[in-house]
Amino acid sequence: MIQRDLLETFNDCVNRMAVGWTIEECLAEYPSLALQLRPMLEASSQVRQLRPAQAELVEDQEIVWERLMATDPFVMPVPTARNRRGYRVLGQLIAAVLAFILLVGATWFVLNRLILPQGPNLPILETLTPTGTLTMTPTMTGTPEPTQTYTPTVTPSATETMVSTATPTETVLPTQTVTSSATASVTPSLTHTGTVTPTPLPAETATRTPSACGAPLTAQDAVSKVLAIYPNTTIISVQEVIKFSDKLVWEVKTSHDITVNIDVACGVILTIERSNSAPTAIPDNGGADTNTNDNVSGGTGSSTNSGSSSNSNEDSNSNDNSDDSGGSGMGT
Amino acid sequence: MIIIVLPDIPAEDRLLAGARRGERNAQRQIYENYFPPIYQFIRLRVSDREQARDIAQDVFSAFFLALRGNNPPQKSLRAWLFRVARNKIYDHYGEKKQFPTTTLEEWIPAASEDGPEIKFMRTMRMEHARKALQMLVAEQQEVLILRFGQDLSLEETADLMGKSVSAVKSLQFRAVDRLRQLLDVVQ
Repeated sequence: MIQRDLLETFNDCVNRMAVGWTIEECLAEYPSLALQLRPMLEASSQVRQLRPAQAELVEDQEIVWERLMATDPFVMPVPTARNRRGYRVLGQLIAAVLAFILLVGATWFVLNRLILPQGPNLPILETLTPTGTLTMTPTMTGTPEPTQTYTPTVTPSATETMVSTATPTETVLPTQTVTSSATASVTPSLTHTGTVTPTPLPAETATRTPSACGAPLTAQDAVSKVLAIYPNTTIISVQEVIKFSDKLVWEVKTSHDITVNIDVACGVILTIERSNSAPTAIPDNGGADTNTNDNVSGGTGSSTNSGSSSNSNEDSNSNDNSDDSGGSGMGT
Repeated sequence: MIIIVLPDIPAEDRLLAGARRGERNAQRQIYENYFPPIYQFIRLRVSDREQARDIAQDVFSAFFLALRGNNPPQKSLRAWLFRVARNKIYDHYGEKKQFPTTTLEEWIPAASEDGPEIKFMRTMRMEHARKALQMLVAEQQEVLILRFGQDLSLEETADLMGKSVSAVKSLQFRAVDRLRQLLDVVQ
């Protein structure tokens, strides 16, 4: 207990002496322990007086400070807000430069990897043998149908010979024999434009093969044929149409509402139509046009094509082709 | 001359704040306040003067670096500096912590206005104290230097040495009692 009190009292005196108390003042506070405290406080006081030489202390203090100043990073001031902004901009610049260098480096690396070096000293590490099956499915793209423009050039050439023999009889039966032959040469001109990928379509050729009848009939020929039959009429229109089971015909319309269909290939008049009557079929005579046309004035407008080559009626040779408009409006 | 450094917390806080802002005067003031006790503490443990100087430089370099870093001294700057100095000393002597026994030979008693006879007596007494202190174990030397040489509080000394307050109280009592016995023998 006494040792415990001495320990606490000694510690209290040490604290008091640290703030300027003397040994005597402290012993006066604890007179009962003064005998034990005195040698201990004197011993501690001797330690308190141990100091290095003041000159050494001052000299070393300046030396160390100069060293600290020389090693600038240790005493560098803390960056201010303004400096921090500058550092931020500088950092961004450095980051941008680094990013650019990385980009260039990566590009260079990739290019070097793609472009294989060619040199005799490079060892062959491995020989690769391709395996597997490669299946390719072509896919057509583009416009598979070419645009075609067909411009026929027709050079008409026709020769017509007409021999008329008339024999006046009591009954007027005009006989007319018409022999006509028409030739035409058609030079097709085909313009083919189109884009087909990848395999171009084969070049298309269009030919117009003349039939066995001879050269195809031209529009002028068709008009001539109609005017030969109806000299007093006026041709309204001439059209090349497909009729009668895909047969190419000239459809000639007259001012008397008569439509004459003439085979283009053979030049044969196929039908003569009135607007108010059924068409009259004219048999094909094989291209040798010998027509006997009995035009009866005021008749019903029916046309008879006998197909015979001649009519030997010498009494009269009257081609009564009067166009009686007062009748049904149709002269035959 | 007895150097006693008593911390003035508000003034010390202002100095620390100024030093953190990079104010050279604040840094210089802190250095002038704390270099003497730190150097004395180091010089008591390190025999070579140049080595003591280097260790003191390391202590203040660590301090300025801590000011710029994220973990500056917060509570007691004095305790922080002594802790760093103690760690530097231990780093200097390595794991064995074999402190020299001749570190006090170059020490002289503080200057005084006394006459030659009294000065001689004082010098003789200091010589005895120095020899007696050299005969203590390192832990006892340390607690006496910190408590009586640098006037650190019991709590500061306990924190610095990694001991409890009661353990430091007992340690200093045994150290002083042993020093007294040794002084009797030396004298």
